[in-house]
Amino acid sequence: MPPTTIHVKATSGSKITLDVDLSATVADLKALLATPSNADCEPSRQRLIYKGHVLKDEKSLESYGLAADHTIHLVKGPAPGSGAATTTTTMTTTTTTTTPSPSPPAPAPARADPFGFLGAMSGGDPFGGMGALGGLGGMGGDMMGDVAAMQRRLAENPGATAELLNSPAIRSYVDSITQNPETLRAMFESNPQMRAVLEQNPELNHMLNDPETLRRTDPANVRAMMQMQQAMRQLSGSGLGPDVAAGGGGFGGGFGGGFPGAGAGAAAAAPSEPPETLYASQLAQLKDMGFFDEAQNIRALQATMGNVSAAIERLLSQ
Amino acid sequence: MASKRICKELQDLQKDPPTSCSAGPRADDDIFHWDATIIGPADSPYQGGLFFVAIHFPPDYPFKPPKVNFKTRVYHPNVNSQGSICLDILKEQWSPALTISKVLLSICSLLTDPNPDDPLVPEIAQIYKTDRGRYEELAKEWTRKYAM
Repeated sequence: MPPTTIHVKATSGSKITLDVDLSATVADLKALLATPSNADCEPSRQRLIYKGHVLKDEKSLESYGLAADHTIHLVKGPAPGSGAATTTTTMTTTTTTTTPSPSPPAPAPARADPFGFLGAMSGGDPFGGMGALGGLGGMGGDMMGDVAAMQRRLAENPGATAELLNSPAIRSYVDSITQNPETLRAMFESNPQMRAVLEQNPELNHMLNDPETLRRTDPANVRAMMQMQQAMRQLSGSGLGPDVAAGGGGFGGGFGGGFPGAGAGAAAAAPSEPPETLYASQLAQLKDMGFFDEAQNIRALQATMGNVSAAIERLLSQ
Repeated sequence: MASKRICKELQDLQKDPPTSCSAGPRADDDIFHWDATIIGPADSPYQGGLFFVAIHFPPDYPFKPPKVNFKTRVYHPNVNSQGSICLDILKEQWSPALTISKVLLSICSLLTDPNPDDPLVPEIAQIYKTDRGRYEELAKEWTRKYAM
């Protein structure tokens, strides 16, 4: 049998590419991985996971349905013998001496759904992406009222950018993200599209590595905020505004929180682009979900400013 | 349509799975029942653990959320002894644009950052809020006991 190329992903994020014979056993693969040039981890400590299952040593790779270009996860188990030692330590430890680090303040936005934000970021230059911070507002749910109020203030007084930057709502939002750059980074790295954006935009990458940049009120940041303001205007123009302004309501939360496409169309793309390009990712999503009438999909996306979920509702109600 | 979408997700997961989770059908002839594995996040007391998760897709997926349950016991304010998970995107915040991969990543993020204000196990939430050290110690112990 000719060798097949497979990938092994370690918890550190590193990826090893190997040529294996699919009729080989899992134990054979572990022996191959044990070499220093690969995972450098003795077979007894390796736990291999594929399609949600832990692979058993004696079974063959093909019995699990492994095929070319598929990815297996490698988790390194505790070193043999150290298990007992650890247990003893726990038994004798009655008080915890380590002070628990303050919990990162970002859990809510991260969990509510990082991807609404990501979807919005995938469109353009890094600062255009920053404009999508508007989308973030939705994630907080209760934040929405403040953001909407600010949006109204901005509409009345375009010079209020500084005020916006200093407003407690935005401050706390930006802070909650910047204090936990790992979350932001994880959000980026979990999405191949976003990784590409990072690679193309070293400044953005740098920004992620240096949370201070995000926090500082430099011209770039002001620009980003201006974009946000613009994005919000577009949103309010689209008729979504009133719902968003309604705040903590279900729609307010769900709008920014749940849908990858939300905000993308409004924040990242120039209105002059043809809808096929503007909504390319959303169109692909709709197609994947079984909506094959492209013209109809485009109409629905245009009517909903690129919000996939709202477009689906619309398509289904027609 | 549900099976088409599920197959698409499976293809994507096989080619480029997230670093922290793996998922696939339990048996070849039933695409609606999956098993998944979540690797305990490094920055949490669940580090080093492997957590098994059962996924059940409803017939009208993706318009209804998948049912996701832990099969490995987890000491966490938002996961009860039955393995039920309290996560908004699995309930009212579900969107057809979400995928299993995103759901699993959200669960990973829930492991790192519990949400004690919307608890499924109020006792654990109480400990988490009042004595973080104790919570971490217990979570680590359960991870060692059940997930290694």
